[in-house]
Amino acid sequence: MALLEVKNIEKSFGKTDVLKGVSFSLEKGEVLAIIGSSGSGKTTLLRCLNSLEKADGGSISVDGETVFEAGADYSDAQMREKRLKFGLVFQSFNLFPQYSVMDNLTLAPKLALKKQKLTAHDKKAAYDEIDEKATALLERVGLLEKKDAYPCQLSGGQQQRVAIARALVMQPEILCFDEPTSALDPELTGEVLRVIKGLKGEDHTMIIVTHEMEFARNVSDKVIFMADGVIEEMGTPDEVFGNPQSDKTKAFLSSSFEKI
Amino acid sequence: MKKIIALVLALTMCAFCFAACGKKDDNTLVCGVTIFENMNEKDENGNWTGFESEFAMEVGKIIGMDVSFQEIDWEQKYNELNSGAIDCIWNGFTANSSDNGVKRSDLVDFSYGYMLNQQCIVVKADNLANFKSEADLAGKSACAEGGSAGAAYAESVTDKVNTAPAQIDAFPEVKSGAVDFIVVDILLAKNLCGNGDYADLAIVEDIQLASEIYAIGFKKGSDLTAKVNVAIKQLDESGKLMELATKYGFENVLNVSETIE
Amino acid sequence: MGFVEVTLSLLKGLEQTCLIFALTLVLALPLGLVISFGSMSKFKPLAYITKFFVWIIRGVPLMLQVIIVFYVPGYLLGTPLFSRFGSVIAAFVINYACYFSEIYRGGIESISKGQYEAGQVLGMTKTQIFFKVVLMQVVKRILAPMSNEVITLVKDTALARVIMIVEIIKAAQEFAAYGLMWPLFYTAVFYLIFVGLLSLLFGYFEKKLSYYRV
Repeated sequence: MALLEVKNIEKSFGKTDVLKGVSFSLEKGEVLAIIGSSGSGKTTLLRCLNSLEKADGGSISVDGETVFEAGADYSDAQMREKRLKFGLVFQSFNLFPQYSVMDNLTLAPKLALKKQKLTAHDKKAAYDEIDEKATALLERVGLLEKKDAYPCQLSGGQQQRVAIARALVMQPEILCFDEPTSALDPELTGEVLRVIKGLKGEDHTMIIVTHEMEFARNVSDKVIFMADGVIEEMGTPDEVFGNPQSDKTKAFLSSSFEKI
Repeated sequence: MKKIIALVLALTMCAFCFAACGKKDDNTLVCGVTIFENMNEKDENGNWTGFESEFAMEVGKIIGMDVSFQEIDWEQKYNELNSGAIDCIWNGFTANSSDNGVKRSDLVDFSYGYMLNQQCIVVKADNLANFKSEADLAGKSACAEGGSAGAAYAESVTDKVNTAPAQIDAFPEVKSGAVDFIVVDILLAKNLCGNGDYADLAIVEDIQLASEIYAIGFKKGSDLTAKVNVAIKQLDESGKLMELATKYGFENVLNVSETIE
Repeated sequence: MGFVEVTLSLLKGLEQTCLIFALTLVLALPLGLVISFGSMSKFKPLAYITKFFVWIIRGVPLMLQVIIVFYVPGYLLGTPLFSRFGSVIAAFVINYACYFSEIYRGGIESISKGQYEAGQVLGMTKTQIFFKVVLMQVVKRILAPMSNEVITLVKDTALARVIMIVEIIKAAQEFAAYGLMWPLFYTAVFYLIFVGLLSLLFGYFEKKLSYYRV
């Protein structure tokens, strides 16, 4: 059974229909790249998965468990629990500026512990475990020596790598990236893309919204091309990039590669 | 979040309770006063002295109430009285005068009159020659205590009148040259002019103003008026009142009368 | 009256000044936050009522509010609801809380949506996001306007004398009434020192918070 099942997601803002019924599924360990021109609905789709937007129609299930069903009323606590199945890395990093790199990673998991009534001893053990995990992740993204730095002291690429580590601390089933390199100077995109590529090797299930066509082709197992709120074309990278069927896909791809 | 809101509400409640306590109790007679030389003054230790202060304390003993003194802005005296912040205006309060055309006896209930007074004009001593008759006051700048009988008079003779919060605040105005003359109670002026800081001020003897009578003002309908009147009568008959007047130099103007007109 | 006596008397007045200042701050700072939540509420009637209230309080002179709080309950009930000092504190706290609420609102609304969303996707509750993520950024943003308000508060305490609270200006005016003017001017020294210390304190806070940018 697929890890992620997305069925017929619809979303409109006022009179504008942004998503007009989007369905796809994803196996565990697969990497999905979503491409398409701006305004095609790909970012909105990602935000619906992460419950930052509430879809008007459709359903989402992870590992057989329904995490979203249009029309159902979820309490704040239920929403929080369900959205933790997903992690999200933002285009603009959104690190917490007043916390050090280390604290950016450990803040949310430590706060989550507060709901459980732990003894002082258990609490310390849990805190230590979180610190250990955060340290390992910082090492993983190559920024352990910056653990006491503040976000404003880091380059954009470094900030985005911290943001990736921060998302991973929560151990999401599916990690989403919303144009993770769009806000970066061209010379800084490489370090971020390398980290994402490295995660693929560790069997992380990922959904990446990106404008980096070359990267999408190399790293993904599955590609979705979106246009006007629907999935115009879906397939393996070789199918979509090598032998596109739809005219819209062809036009988009030729204009994307022209620029380079 | 709820905890925070609850905390803020609790703090606010505490503040209001704190604010509410320290309110006057029912068995204290709170007299509204302004600082008035030899009438209502504080000594170095902050105790009230002067004729009016001692008079009030003697009355308090007879009617069985504690007496306290609250300094007020004279302009706010009716607000202070009617809102219950003070119980009486006992501070050389001229009974036979009016405020904005309304007779004071229509605004408050007066006790028996107990002292005669007169308003007078005070100027700089070296300026005395310019003040020979009431006509000389026209067009000159004046200062008097806001809401006082003196202010009412000043407004009737010139259109340049500033008001001060208390009579005693009018003196620096004329001394500093900010105004040409001030209108104040003669009892106060006699004490201050020619002495100390006010050595260069003088009373204009050539301009005599109508005589006045002092009485204590109570809120309309207050039952304190009758009680205090009985006490005044008693103090007058026993000679205690004259004793106090003599102590502060008012023996010539003490005059207890049942009518205030 | 010598310099020492005058100084001692003014220091007694300064005690009242400081007490009004401290109590107003301690109570108005949190109350302002509650009012700002009210004016930003998604429940529109509450937001409108709060904004109307803030308009009234900011639109009427503080001096008039002090007079109203002290005299009006007395007119209605026959006896004052609050002591003189209590009335001053009530009026000051409400007035300053309204000003603070608008500063808070500006600060809170200036924080980017991304900060809230980052907290949300990490599973934090709304309260945790506000207090752990947003608040410190707001504090840094509003430090300069707050220092202005707090310094204004120091000098606004002088308004308490309209209902005969003997704060430092009133204490000095009692000397002026006897022809001694210099104590009144001397009070400026106390205000300048007070405000000077506050400026240093705010400078220190600013430095403390300079390690991050928002």
